[in-house]
Amino acid sequence: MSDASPGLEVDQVDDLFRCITTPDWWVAEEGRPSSAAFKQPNFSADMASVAKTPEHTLQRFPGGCGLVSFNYGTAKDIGFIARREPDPEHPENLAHANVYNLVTSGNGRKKMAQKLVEAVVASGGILVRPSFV
Amino acid sequence: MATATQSSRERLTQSTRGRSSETWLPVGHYDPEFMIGVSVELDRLSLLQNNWDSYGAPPIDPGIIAAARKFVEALPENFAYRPRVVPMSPGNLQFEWHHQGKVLELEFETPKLIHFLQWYPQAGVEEEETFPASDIERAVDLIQWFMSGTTV
Repeated sequence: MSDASPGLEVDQVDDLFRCITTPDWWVAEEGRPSSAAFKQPNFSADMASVAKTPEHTLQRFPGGCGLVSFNYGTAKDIGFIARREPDPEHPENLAHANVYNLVTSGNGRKKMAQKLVEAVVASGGILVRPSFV
Repeated sequence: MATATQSSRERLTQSTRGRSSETWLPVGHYDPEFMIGVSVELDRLSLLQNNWDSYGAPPIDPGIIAAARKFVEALPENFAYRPRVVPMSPGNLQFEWHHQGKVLELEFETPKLIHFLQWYPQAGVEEEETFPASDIERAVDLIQWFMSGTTV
């Protein structure tokens, strides 16, 4: 997130890629991510329409990371807002978007994250299972 | 004065005694290594460095690690599966229990405040709320909810 004005909203038909960067965010026994991967007030994702391939996103992260995807329209129905905004660490990545959880305190934040986990699973969005060593 | 641990243990025993004395109810899960196992995980989280999640996360707040340790030490013995101990990008942590779509999360938002998620949509349970980290009885109730009908 930057101090600049908000970026354009991501198209609702687009899918978003989210990297699973630590084994702590992967519930191995159930083969799905933990809600911890989606619980920040805002988190980074890549627009699939720009990234084109999972490798585009994975190349910026350590080996063994996983990758999941979800439809932005579905995420918006849950309550998330995604905006096309640059990643200060990787300004060359034109696929980058920030996904905002507008419930920053109190009830709702955890349910939203859990619903997004279920949306990932229901849509077959587990693209690359983590293989951390 | 009874400690929180003593109180929770007595309550568990009483709830068992409250039924027929000839019937033993499976209210627990034998795991004598529960406390040390969770403590080792907390030690691991305490060593996480800046950017441990590759998204710029700070280290886990030592005050939250200490609060989580104190919390675990106050839980009754042998009544629950060991939780996953999960670091969070803002620098806090949560305990997670998962079983076939049933989820319990106890997230330490601060050293004094737990934000829980009780999730089992198949049974119509989607609860989320906060309570003081010192309220061990509330936590025990939640963990017992997760354990009820859960066999691994």
